[in-house]
Amino acid sequence: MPTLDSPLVLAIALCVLVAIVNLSLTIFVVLRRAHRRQYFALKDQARDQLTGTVHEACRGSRDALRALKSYDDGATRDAIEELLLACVSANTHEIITHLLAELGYVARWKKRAFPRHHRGSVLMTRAADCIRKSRVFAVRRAIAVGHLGYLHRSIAAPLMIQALEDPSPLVISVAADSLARTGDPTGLTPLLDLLRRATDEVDVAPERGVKAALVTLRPDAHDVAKAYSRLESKRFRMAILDVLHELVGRVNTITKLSNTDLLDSLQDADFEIRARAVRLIPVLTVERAAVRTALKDGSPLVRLRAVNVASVSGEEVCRHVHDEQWRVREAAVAELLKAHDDRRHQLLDTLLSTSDRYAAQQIMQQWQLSGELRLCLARLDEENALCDQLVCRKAVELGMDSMLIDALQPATPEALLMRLLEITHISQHPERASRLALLAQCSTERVSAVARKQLQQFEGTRTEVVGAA
Amino acid sequence: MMRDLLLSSVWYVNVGFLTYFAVANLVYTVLMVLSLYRVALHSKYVASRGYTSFAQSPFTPPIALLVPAHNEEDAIVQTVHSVLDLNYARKEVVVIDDGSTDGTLQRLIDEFDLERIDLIYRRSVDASQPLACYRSRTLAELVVISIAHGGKSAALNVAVNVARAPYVCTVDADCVIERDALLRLVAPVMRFPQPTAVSGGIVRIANGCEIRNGRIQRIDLPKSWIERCQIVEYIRTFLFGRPGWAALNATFIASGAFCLLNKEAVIGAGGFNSDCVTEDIDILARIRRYLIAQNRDDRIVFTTDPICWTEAPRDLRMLARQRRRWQVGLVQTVLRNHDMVLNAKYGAAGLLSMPFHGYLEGFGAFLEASGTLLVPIFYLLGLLSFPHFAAFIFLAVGYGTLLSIGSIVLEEMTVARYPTNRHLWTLLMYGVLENVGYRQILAFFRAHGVIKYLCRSRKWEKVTHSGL
Repeated sequence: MPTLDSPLVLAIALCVLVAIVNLSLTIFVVLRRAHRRQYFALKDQARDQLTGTVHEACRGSRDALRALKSYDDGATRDAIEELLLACVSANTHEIITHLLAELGYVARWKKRAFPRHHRGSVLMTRAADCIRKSRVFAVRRAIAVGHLGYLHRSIAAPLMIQALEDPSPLVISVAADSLARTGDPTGLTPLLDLLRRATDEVDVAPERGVKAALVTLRPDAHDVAKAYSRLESKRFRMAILDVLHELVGRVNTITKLSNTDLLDSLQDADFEIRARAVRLIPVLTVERAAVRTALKDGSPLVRLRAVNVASVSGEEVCRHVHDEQWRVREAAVAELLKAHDDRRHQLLDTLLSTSDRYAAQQIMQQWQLSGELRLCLARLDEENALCDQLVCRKAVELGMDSMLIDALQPATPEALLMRLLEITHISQHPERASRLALLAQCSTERVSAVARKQLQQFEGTRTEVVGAA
Repeated sequence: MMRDLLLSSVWYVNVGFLTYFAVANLVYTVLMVLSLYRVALHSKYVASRGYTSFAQSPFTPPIALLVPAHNEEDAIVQTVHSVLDLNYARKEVVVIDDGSTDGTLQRLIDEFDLERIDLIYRRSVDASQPLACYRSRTLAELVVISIAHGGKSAALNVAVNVARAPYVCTVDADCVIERDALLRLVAPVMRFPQPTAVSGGIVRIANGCEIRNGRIQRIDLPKSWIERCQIVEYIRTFLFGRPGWAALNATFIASGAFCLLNKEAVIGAGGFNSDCVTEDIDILARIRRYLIAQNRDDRIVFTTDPICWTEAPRDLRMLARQRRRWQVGLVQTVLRNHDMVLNAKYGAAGLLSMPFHGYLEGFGAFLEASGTLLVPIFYLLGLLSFPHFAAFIFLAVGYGTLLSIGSIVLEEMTVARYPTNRHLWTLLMYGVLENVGYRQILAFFRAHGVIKYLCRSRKWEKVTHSGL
C-alpha cells in the first residue's frame, strides 16, 4: 500500500504558494490601476497646461521648444507627443517633424522600428529573422513605424520604404499604409513591388492592405497601368486591375488608359482577369464593341461586370434581363432601375410582356425592393392607373403578391380595397383566405359582399384541389 | 484484506482525479502564458493604430449580419438597433424570425416600419422555404425573414441563403454589439496575408449594465453571485482560453453569439447542422475539415477586442440548462468528428485542441464531478490521507483561483471594461469565490450533460431571458 506523508508539507507549501501568487497578482493589478489613473491624470493636466506652449513651438518659438525639452516624465512627454501629432497639418508638418526630432521622439521611434541586426552564423540569423517575423515581437516595431509615418513626407517616405523590407507582415502593412498616407510619389514603385511580392509569395503582406495603400496614395492611374503586363502573375494582374478600378472610380477626370497589355486583358483566357478588365472599359481606349463582346462572354461574372458598365456605355442591358444566370439578370434589372425614365419604361415593358418567368420574377423582386410596387399599390384606385393595375396583376400572376395580400385589411380605403379584391381574385397566396375572412366581416357592405363571394370561390377551389389529389 | 483492497482502489481512483486536474491545470497555465503577452501586445497595437484605415478602405469586404430570433420580443429591437448602428459601411442585416409565438415579429414590424415583399429564394445550403419576407421602408440594409420554427441552425441556413455578402456574421438575438466590434472582427481579414475563414470575438455579460437604444450606456456588475461568477468565468474563457488556442492555430470553439464566417466556407461545409445542439462548435469543425479537404490554408482566428454583450442566465435552473446544452454539443461535435481527433492532418487543432475539449473538458466533466463528490467522502470515511485530500483541494480549487485572478489581471491590462475600483475588487473577490462552489456546481451540470448525451437525450434546452 503506497503511503504519502511528506506530501502534506508539499500540499501546504503549494497552497501557500497559490495564496502568495494570488495576493501578488491582486496587489499588482490594484497598483497598476492606481498608476494608470495617476498617469492619465498627469497626462490630462499636461495636455491642458502645454497646449499653448506646443502651439507656440509650432510657430517656431525657441523658448517654447526649450520649455518642452525640460519635461522628462513619461506622462508629460506622451501628452506633448499627442499634442504635436494632433497639430499636424499641411502648413505645420515640416516644423512639427523638426520639433519631434528635436525632442528626441524620432530617434526613439527609429530605434524601436529598426533594431540593430546582430550578424552571426546562418542559423542564428535565421532564428533572429523568425523571431522578428513573429507577430508577438513585431508589434512594438509596427507601432514605432506607425508613429514615424506621421513625420513630413521627405523624412517619413524613405523610412517607410525601408520598413517595407521588414520580415513581419504586420510591420509591412503598417509601413505600406503610412507610406500611402504621406502621399509621396516615390512610394509608388516600392508599393507596386510589395504588391508583386504579396501576390506571388506566401506570408509577405496582406494583399487587401497593399491594394488599399495604393489607392490611398492616389497615384496617376497611368503609372499604375504601366505595371500591368501579361508576363506578371495572375494574382498580381488581378490586384492591379482592382486598384485601377478603385482609382478611376475616385478620380473624376481621367484620360483614357492605353497600355496594350491592359487592353488585351479584355480577351484574356482567364475569366477572372476579363471580369476585372471589363470594369475598366469606360476608361480604356477601346470601342464600344468591347462591351458588346463582354456582354456575350461565356462567363457569368464577365457578363455581370459588363452589365454594370454597360449603362455607362449606353449598351442594351435589357437583353440581359433574360440571361441564364440569375446574378446577371439581377444586375441588369438593378442597372435599368438606376437609369433614367426611358430605361425604366423599357424594364416595365419587359415585365409586362415577357413570357420568361425568371426574368419577370427578377424584375418584380427589384420592383418591390426599390419601393416601386408600393407606389403602384398606392395609386391603384386612381383614374389613370392602368399601368399600375397591370403591374399588380403581374405580381399576382407570378405569385409575388404578398404586399397586395397584406393590404387586404379593413383599414385600407374602400375604393382601393375593391380594386385589390378584383386584382387578387386569382391569387393562390396562403394568407388570402384569412384576409378574405377578415374582410367578410368588414363594416363596408360592398367590400364584405365581394370578400364573402371570393372566400366561397376560394374554399370551393381548395375543395376541388383536395378532392382531385 | 478487503480493507487493503478498498484503500488501494481509493488511492488509485484519487490518483486518477489528481492526474485529471493536474493535466487540465497544466494546459490552462500554458494557455494563460501564451495569451498573456499576445493579448497585451495586441491591445497596445490596437490602441496605437485604431481601425479607421479599415473603415475607409474600399477593399474591406461587405458583411451580412445574421440574427436568428425565437421568442425574443424583449431583446430583439435592442439587438437590431445595435447591429444597425455598427460602424461598418457595407453591411446588410438579415433577421430570421424562427417561428416565434410571442410578439417578436410584430415588434420588428412596428419598430422598423417593415413591409411585406417577395424575395426570390435560392438555396445554397439545405434550408426550409421562408414563410414571409419583409423589408424596411426606411432602412435599405434590413431584411426580416419569417420561417416555421426549425431551430437556430435552420434559421441560420435560411439567412445564409438570403445573405448577399461574402462574409456572414452570426449574432444572437439577445446581444448588444459594441459599435466598432465589426471592424475589429474583420481586422484579421484585412491584416493577415492568408485568407480568413472564421474570426471569433469576445462575449461579455451584460447583466447589470444599463442599455439604451442598443448601446451599453453604463457598465456595472449584477447583484447576484451566480451572475458575478459567470462574469469571471467568461473573462477566463475568452481572455486566455480561446486566445491561447488561437495562438496555437487550434481554435475549436468560436461563440456563435458573435462570429464572422466566410460564406463560401460555410456553404462548402454544408451549412449549419440542425442535428447539433451547439451549431457554432459544429460548423467550426466542419469548416476546418472542408479547408483541409480543399487543401486551403485559410485561417481560423480569435481576437480579443471585438466585444458582444449578452444576457447570462440569472438563476441556477437556466444556468443548468445552458451548460447541459453546451456540454451535449461539445461531446456531440467531438464524437461526430472523431476522425479529426489526434489526426496530424488537422494540425494543432486535431492533435491538441480537439482531444482537450472533447475528452478533458467534455467527458472530463464527469471525472471532475465525481472527484468533487467522492474525494471529500473518501477523506471523511478515513479512506484517504490528508496529503492526498490537500493535493486534490489544491489542484481542484487552489489552482483555479490563480487562473481566475490571472484572467482578471489580463482583463485589466487589456480591454479594462470595468471602470471603478469597486468593480475590480468585486471581480477579484469572485475570482476566488467562484472556485469554491460555483465551479463544482457547473461540474455537476456538465456531467449531467454528458450523461444526457450518452442516454441519447440531445434536445435543445431553451434558456429563457428576462431581457436586457
